[in-house]
Formats: sequence, C-alpha cells, structure tokens
Amino acid sequence: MSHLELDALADVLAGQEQPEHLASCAQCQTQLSDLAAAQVQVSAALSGLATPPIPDSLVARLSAALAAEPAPFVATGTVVPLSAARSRRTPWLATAGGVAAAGVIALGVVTLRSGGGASSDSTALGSAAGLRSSSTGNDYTATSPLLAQSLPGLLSGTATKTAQRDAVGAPEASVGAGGSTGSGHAPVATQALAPDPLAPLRTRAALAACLAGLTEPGDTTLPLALDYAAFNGQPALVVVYPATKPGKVDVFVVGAGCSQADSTLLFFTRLSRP
Amino acid sequence: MTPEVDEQDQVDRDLMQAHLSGDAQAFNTLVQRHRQRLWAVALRTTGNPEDAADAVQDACLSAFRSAASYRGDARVTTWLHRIVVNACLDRARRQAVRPTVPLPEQPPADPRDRLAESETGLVVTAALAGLPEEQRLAIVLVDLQSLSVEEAAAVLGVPAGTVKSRCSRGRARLAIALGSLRNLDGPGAVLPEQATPEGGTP
Repeated sequence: MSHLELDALADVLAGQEQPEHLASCAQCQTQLSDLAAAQVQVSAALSGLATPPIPDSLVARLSAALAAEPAPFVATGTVVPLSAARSRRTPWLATAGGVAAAGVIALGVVTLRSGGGASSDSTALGSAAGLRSSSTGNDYTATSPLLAQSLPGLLSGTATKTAQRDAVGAPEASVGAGGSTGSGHAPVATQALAPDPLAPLRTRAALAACLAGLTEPGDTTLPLALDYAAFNGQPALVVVYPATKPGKVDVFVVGAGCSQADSTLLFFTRLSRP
Repeated sequence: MTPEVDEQDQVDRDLMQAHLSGDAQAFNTLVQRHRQRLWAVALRTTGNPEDAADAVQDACLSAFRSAASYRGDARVTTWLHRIVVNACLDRARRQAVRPTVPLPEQPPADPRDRLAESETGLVVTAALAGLPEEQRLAIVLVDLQSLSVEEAAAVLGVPAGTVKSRCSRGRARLAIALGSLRNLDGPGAVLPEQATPEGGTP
C-alpha cells in the first residue's frame, strides 16, 4: 500500500482526513509527527512576519478617492447630488434610444385623457419609443412602496392616482378640473386649469431642459415614463429611465424647478422593471 | 448566519449605517479603522506593494459604493476582507493575461539556514508568495490576520473544512520551503510537483 503524500498528511493534521493506512504505518506516523512539528515552526515564523505600515501615499490616495465619491443612494428621501445620480447612467445607453430627449419633447406631448382621476399622456414619438407621461398626483416618499407599486402603470401609461389620505400637488387638481372624459388629445401645457406648481415642466422646452439636466452630456436615452406627482408633499416630477442593469429602471424624482442647470433632484432609486 | 456582534463590530456597523444615512465622514472613519489590516491582506495576497495599493483603493471604493448591499449577515470586517481579496484576485487575473517580466533568479540558499534568515521576513515572504493562491489566501487570513477559520471561510466563500485543509497544506509546503521539514525524501510522504487545485475536503 502506498504511503501518504504531503497533502494527505496535511489534511490529517487539519482534521479533515483519517486514512486507515495511517494506523498501521509507522513510517507515515513518523512523517505526520515531523510535519506537525514543522508546522509549529512555520506558524511561529508566520506570526513573526511583520507587515510594513500602509504607505502614507496610499492613505492620501484613499482619502482623496473617498472624498471624491458621491454620497450613496439610500432611501432617506433627502436630496442627493445630481452628479451621483448621473453616474448611474452610462454611455452605452445613449445608443439605445437613438433620439435626443429634447427632440422627443419638441415633437409635442399630447394628452390622452383617462379615467380614474388621472391622465396618461403620450407623444407621437414617445409612443413608439415607449415613453409615457402620467399625472397621477401621487405623493411618493422614499420609504413607501407606492412608487414601486405605481411603476407598472407608469410604464404602460395606465397609471391612476392611488388613494391617499393627503395627496398633495396641483397635478391632481388640474386633472380633476380638466375632467376625465377620455375625450381627445390636448397638449399637456394646456391641461392645467388650476394653479399648477409643475406647470413649468409641462412646457416642452422646460421639460427638455430638465431631462437634459438628468443625463450626461451626449446621453440621448429616452425616459420610459414621466409622472407629474408629488414627493414628500412637494410637487415633483418622476422620470423613469432604463437602468444600466438589465431588468431595472432608474427613477429620478425632481422638483418643480428642474432645469438643465439645476435638476433639483429630490430622490433617486433603482427598481425592478415590471 | 448572523454573527455575534461584539463591540468593535457594532462600531463598524454604526459607521456603515451612518454612511448610508449620508454622513460624509463615516466611511472614511471605517477605512481608517481597518486600512492597515486591509493593506496587509492585499500586500500578502498580491506580493507587490503597487498592486496591493491599487487593490486596496479599488476595494475601498467598491465597498463605499456597494455599502447598501451589506446585509449584516457577516462582520463588517469580514465583508471588507472579502472585497479586498476579490480586488486582489481581479488584479491577479488581469495581470495573468499580460506578459510579465520574470524576476531575477535568486541564488540557492541552504534550506537549513532559511528559517534563521526569516527573522528578516524576506524568506518567509518569498515562500508565502510561492504558495498556490488558494493556500496563500487561507494562510494570510488565518495565520497572519488572525481571522477565525469560520471568518476566513466566509471571506473566501468556501466551507470551513476547506480553509483548514488549505492552511495545513500551505503550512506543509512552507515547512519544506523554509527547511524545517527534512524527512520527506524517503519513500513516505511525497511533495506533489504541482499543487492540488482544490483545498481538499469540504
């Protein structure tokens, strides 16, 4: 019978093997004993192995690199740096849409009235590209599941306002005032019949500028859906983009003052695409 | 498996939570607490200060960005070690496909003197660098970083028994490399010419 090799002896010492051969082989028992003694010496040598201190240059690099990082994305509902949200978008997406967001808006957003106290809008090109614009008036928060629950309706253009105790936002009022007869198409800009804090974002130019501010320069990705709604009680526009990760969408929530220079980003999250 | 949260781990967890809550300094503090250990792991794993520095930086940034993915099912330090080890392995794999400049040959040394010379650490370091990667990683974590076998297993994503086996096999090879094991030239134990890829028993 062959004797135990080094690995087998090491496994015995590790308590992982107990070959029958060992019990009857004096030579292997001796080898095992020698190996055990040698391992003690090795452990001593290892324990005496000092590691040089971390170089000052690396300490400085780490501090600088971490300081340059945008804040993490968390469901705090606090304002997050736009630069951080932008970093979630990557250039490859720019080829996915193939049409500048500004171009989409320039072609005109029209409204498709729908029931349920909300409206669902679509553009001619937006329809082809899958863009849907809704005015649910929902009051989203960072921690409630409402945003995720509303996502299927936003993406399909069938979103309706979810019953809430204290929904805020003129979009709801404007929708109510505009009626929900489901008749005809009308420009979104003419939709608001009551004071609408989000009115500026219902103009094509302002919406195009806002969307441009949400994307990296040169990123022509189209949003999948818009929702004129509220966030933490404040009027807000929800913009849903395809995420870099398959099966996900990036959801930006911006304030009424959203512009290319200042997107007034209120919240960002990444959700599973329904 | 939820680990026992000791005082130090609780501090780390609090820092993680503060980081996720927007505290701009929290993660930097966490890194300051553990950067020396992370550096040690990277240096012993890569065997190269430049690669180790790059790996530590990559790992810290990765940890910063993915902090929300930390679920608390392991110690924060275990999670950090795992990220550093992965960063080291990523770099090693990338470099494996690049042409490398061979190191100059070292003059053969008398094995009997090697353990004495190891006071400088150079011989031990060189022997450690010569181990198969999986054995070196296990020894770095358990023998040098004093992680428990279970923690090392969590870092490496293998069963604890595999870590024990890899450590023991690695120590056996180091024993030969350092000249502290002399009776293996008989018909008994034989040093395999090439390391067994897997660390033995699960």
